[in-house]
Amino acid sequence: MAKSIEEFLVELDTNSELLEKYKKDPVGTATKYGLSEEDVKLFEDKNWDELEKRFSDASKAVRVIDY
Amino acid sequence: MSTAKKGELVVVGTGISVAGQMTLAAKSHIENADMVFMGIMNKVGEHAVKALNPNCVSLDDLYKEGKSRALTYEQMADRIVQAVVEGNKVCAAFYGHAGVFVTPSHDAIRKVRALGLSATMLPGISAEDCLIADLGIDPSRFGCQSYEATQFLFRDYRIDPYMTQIIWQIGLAGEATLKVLSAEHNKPGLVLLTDILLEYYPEDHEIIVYEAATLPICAPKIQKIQLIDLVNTPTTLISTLVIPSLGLPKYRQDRLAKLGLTEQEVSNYRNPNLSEKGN
Repeated sequence: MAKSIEEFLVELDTNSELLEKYKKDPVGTATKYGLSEEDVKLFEDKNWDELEKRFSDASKAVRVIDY
Repeated sequence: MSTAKKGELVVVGTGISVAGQMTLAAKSHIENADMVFMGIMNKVGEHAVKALNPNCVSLDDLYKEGKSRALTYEQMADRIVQAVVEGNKVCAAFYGHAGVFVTPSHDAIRKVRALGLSATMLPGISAEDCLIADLGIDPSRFGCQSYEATQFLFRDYRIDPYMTQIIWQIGLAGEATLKVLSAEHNKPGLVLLTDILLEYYPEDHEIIVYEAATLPICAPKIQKIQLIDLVNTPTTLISTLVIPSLGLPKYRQDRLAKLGLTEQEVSNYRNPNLSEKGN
């Protein structure tokens, strides 16, 4: 079963060796990690907007009132 | 004597990036909690927390466009406090530093302590920490003033242009209703902010609109612009404005004299090689 992008991103953020490999060979590293073809494509295309859209929600970023 | 389990609260920050900036202590508190409340705004970050403890509840469902954030934050704090009152060992995990620009974390701690129960906060990595690293700005170099944009606009604050200015939440500059969850209505606020800044800085002073990276594959967003162009620069709800210092101010001769010092002496102390060469 393909591994999830979430797992891959967490691993990249906590494993400097994997991040190093990713920087040298993004597609190869994502494929070897076990992402689906569709997900690997996001990294191949450097489609960060899609990644942001899928995973981040800046509308929930604000959490203070001080005025 | 009551044997009922007493609830307790630990509030932690998970860092700005999705997982790598979480401290070992924060991780351990998440793992060992009966339940974890998450205010993380990023599904990958939530995934990292859920992997440590499956008993997680998101607080993000409380945000609604058109609903006052004052109410949202009160409900967040109440949800956390209620779980503590029910006898749970609760961990509240907020992205960044849980105590930096976070109203509900401080409120929850205050309420839990008022009930005579234990509540603590652990430090975490905030957007300011990322900013310092990414922009190479040491707050000690010129001193630093750090404040929220709308609060600055509404109240009678003073800027010291010799200090670095870090102005938070420019995406909501001047937004008073607290019902907006986008950065599409901040133009009047940015116009006013620019007018105020122009009292202290020239139009072409280089300023920076900054966003820390949340994903390990993305770089931080760093827009270097002239002050006069601030109004036409795209911002988001996670944009922070940095105004670099005009430089170090002059020495205060009167204060130096009171300490028995001269400008030449302190200059020599700061640059020992130069003074040694002169000897």
